[in-house]
Amino acid sequence: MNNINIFDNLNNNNIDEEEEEEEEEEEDNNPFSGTNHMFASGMAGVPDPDTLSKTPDLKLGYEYPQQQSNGNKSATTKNTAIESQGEDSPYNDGDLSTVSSRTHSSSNGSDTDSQGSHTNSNSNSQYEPYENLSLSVALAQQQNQENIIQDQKDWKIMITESGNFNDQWGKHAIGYVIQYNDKEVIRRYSEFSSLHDLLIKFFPTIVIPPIPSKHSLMKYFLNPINAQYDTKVIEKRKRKFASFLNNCNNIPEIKSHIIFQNFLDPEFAWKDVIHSPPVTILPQNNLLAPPLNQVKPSPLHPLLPSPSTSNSPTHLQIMDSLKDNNELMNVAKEFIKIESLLSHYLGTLQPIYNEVKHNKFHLSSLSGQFAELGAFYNALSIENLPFGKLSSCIEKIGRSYDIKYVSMEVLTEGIQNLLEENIEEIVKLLIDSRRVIVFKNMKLCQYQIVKITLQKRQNRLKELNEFEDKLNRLDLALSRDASSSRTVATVVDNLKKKDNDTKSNNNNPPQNPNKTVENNDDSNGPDMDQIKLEQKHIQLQFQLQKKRKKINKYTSKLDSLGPEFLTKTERDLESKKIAKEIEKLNECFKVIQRDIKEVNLSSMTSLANLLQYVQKKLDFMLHGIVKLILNYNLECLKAWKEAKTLINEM
Amino acid sequence: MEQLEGDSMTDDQRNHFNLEITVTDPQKRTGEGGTSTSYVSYQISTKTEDPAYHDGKPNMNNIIVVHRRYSDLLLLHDVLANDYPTCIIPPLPDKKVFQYISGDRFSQKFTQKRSHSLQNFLRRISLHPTLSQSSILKMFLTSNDWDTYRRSIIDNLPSNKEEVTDAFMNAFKSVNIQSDEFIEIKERSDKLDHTITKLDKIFHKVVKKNDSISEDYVKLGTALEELSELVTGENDELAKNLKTFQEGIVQLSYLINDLNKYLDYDYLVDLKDIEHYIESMRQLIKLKDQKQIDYEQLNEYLTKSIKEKDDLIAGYGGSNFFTNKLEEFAGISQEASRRDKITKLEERITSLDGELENAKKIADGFEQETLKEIAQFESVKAKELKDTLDELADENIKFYEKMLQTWTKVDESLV
Repeated sequence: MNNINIFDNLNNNNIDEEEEEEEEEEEDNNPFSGTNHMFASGMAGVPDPDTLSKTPDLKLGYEYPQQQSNGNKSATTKNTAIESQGEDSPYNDGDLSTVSSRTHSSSNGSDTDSQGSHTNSNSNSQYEPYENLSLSVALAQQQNQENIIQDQKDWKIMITESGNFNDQWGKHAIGYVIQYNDKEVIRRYSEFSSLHDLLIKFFPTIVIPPIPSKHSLMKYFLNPINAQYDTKVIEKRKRKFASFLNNCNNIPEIKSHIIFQNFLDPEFAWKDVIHSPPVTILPQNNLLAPPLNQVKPSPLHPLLPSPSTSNSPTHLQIMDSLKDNNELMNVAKEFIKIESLLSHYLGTLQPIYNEVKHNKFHLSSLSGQFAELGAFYNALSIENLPFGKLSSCIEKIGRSYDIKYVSMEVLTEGIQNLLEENIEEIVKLLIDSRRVIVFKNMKLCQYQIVKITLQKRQNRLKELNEFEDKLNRLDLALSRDASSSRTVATVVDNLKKKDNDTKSNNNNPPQNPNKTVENNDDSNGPDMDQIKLEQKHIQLQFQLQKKRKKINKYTSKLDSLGPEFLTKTERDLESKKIAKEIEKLNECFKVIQRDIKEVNLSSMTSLANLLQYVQKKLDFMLHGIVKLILNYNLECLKAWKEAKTLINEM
Repeated sequence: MEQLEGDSMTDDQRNHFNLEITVTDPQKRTGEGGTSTSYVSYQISTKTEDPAYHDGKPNMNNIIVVHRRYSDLLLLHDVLANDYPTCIIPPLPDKKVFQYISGDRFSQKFTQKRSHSLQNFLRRISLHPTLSQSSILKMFLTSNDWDTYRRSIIDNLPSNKEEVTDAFMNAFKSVNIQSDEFIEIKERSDKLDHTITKLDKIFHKVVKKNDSISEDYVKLGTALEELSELVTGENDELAKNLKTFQEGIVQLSYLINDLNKYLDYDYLVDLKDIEHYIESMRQLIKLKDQKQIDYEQLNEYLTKSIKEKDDLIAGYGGSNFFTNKLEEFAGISQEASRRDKITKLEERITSLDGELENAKKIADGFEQETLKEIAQFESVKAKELKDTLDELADENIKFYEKMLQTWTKVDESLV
């Protein structure tokens, strides 16, 4: 095992394996209950008590250095969780009541956990007379929670906990406990990040759900030691990682992929996964591998051209190049439609994201001012104590501001969770969709290059063949005329002689005239006529070469020349070569044609899904935020009406 | 305190005609008689059943309307301050010199706020048992001849320069024996002032924040509209929802603006006015202290004189050895001069006795008046606090009710 995933505190408190059996019997075996530790609420976010009842048979949740099947400690924690979840009643006494209620409210994704403790501590320390206050907030939170539950009810993967753990080298890191199919595994940020990178490599045609971005440098700068342990950031990441995993899980290709499965499997150390196949056999260039299965061996794919990504074709170029293919043309048109739609979404959502972020900051500073107002009205109320009723009126006003403050905090948190994070996710998805589009376009580029090359070769072959035909026809005509004309007969004779020469030279490239001469010496012996003819032939070749040079000084390739400038040998050679090339090209063309079909289908599905997801998310956000606003208004209105009643009594 | 409330009750009974004064409709006017200076005129309407105000021709709603400008109110203030030195004269809003320079004093924001503050000023006077009975107030609130009246007295107004220097002279002296009652009053007013100032500051911030939030929503509304247009044709349901939500957001921005306007124009002015009112009360206490200091100084002087006299009678002390010798050289009979001195001192003591009695009477009377005034102040302050909080609650309820209405509608029309 490369990774040793131990929750520090778990390790300290539950060292003995035997202890775990006893602890199961105890009601309160959570060593952190009543403290501020994040385990205080037990293992929050346990989805379904039914699945949990099977915990004793569970496979291990964490990986331990000694051996990988040591799952006792995780089981302990889980049992704690069941109890705090299933048996609420024993917790309902003493100072534990807050803890259990918190566990309850945070049972789904533990979204508001940090917030709950925040308001709790506030109401406890600062506003003692306001016990009702925290209650009403808890209520609001529950309603708030329901909205989020709706979105997450189909989530199968949970991030149940996060905390410090040490790896083999004693290095501290924050680990996230992923729970899936009754299994638990701890992964850390860098592992999530590498999974994300790998998914991008494995699936060039699929929009990959985003992961939370790295800590900003600014945060490190301001608070270099505590930045990464900031609980708010960790809570946020928990939510985002859960969303990432579930969104991946909803994409069949990813869900069934070995890398993703290994990530969720505690049997695998991530370090091993990324240093073994299929990760290690990923191709350098994703264009030169089967698009939907990058690691599948394919002899033809490396033969495909690799156009540079920097000159990805424009819509116009694509449309232009597909003129002759109706089917692809129609698909391309559809792509252009969806692409422009997606880019418009990005264009409008980005400013909305900024506005929402802005607004969140404003609201939270406003809520701080409300808190101050509440405090000063309280002071004013105390100063006016001699005035009896007036004093209590002022106190009520102060209370209204307190409630305004608390509700505003809830609202702000809601805006953050519901709007800001979701819009951020959508924006990231939309940005990633560009990668898919570029890949698709590059594939089209490849297709185009292969097609054009094939066409060129075919044309050339046709050209050569036609020339050959023409010569044959000429030959035929000459030999026919030779019987009636002596002159023609002599010409034919000469030509035949020439032909023989060339034939005898077949094995020798004409580039080296001296060698040709020697060859002739060997095969035909010293014959003046022959030599003369040979010289003539060489002269002919030089003439041809001169002409060639005249036509194009820069072209030394034979295949760019008209066939009339080539000798018979050259023509034959080229024909053969081209025939071979065409054979290969045809195979390649078939491959790229299949690729294009696959890429088009896969990309289109992914983009269409993305579009649907965006719309669904937007609709969900709208409904959720309206509920939040309504809640906020209800709370505040109630508080002010109470204050008003009291004032009226004066 | 109960006693205080009782006091205000009898006050109410004494003048059972209430004056209900509202100051509205600030209007820019160009100066009369060819002068090019402009000013702002405020409409002041008084509703009262007091027949004296109606001059025998009561109108339907018992409402009298006049138009006055800031300097008219300033004159009223100054006259009252001169006539009733023992009263807490409600303060006027600052002159706001800066706004004069920048030309902002005709802006709607400035005049609206000022008219609210002027209304507070007049209402406080109308609630005061003595000030509300003053004839100049009646003149101010009803007379059509106010302008001529004003011109005739404005030049002959006694200056209160003397008082200022006097107060300055004694600025560093403090009262020797401060009664517990006043110590408590001072402490209370300090605390109140502190709290109100803090509230004032925070509300200023709130108003600013609200402004930027309202601006956020305007921008968000525009962005949402674009998004809704984008989705139209693609997903009409979502487009409709976005549109509904966007309308809600725009409405939200309007509602915030409305609430903010109230906070800025009314509530903040009320808070500021209470701060000023507390300051006026402190001024009165200072004046009272002044009278007490006068008395204490006289008392000190008297004690000194008596001691001197006693010393002379006893035959020693008083003047020192050197003066005695000098007087001897000068041929002044020590005995004669001593007698002379004693007689003089006796005369002085008698006159001082009278004056002291007088000063004591004044100081005591002033203290009594001040206590009454402070009780009056407390009751007005309590009423104002109650009223402003009532208004604050009303405005907030209005805001949240409208919000609720808007968003319930949005919620219902979401598909």
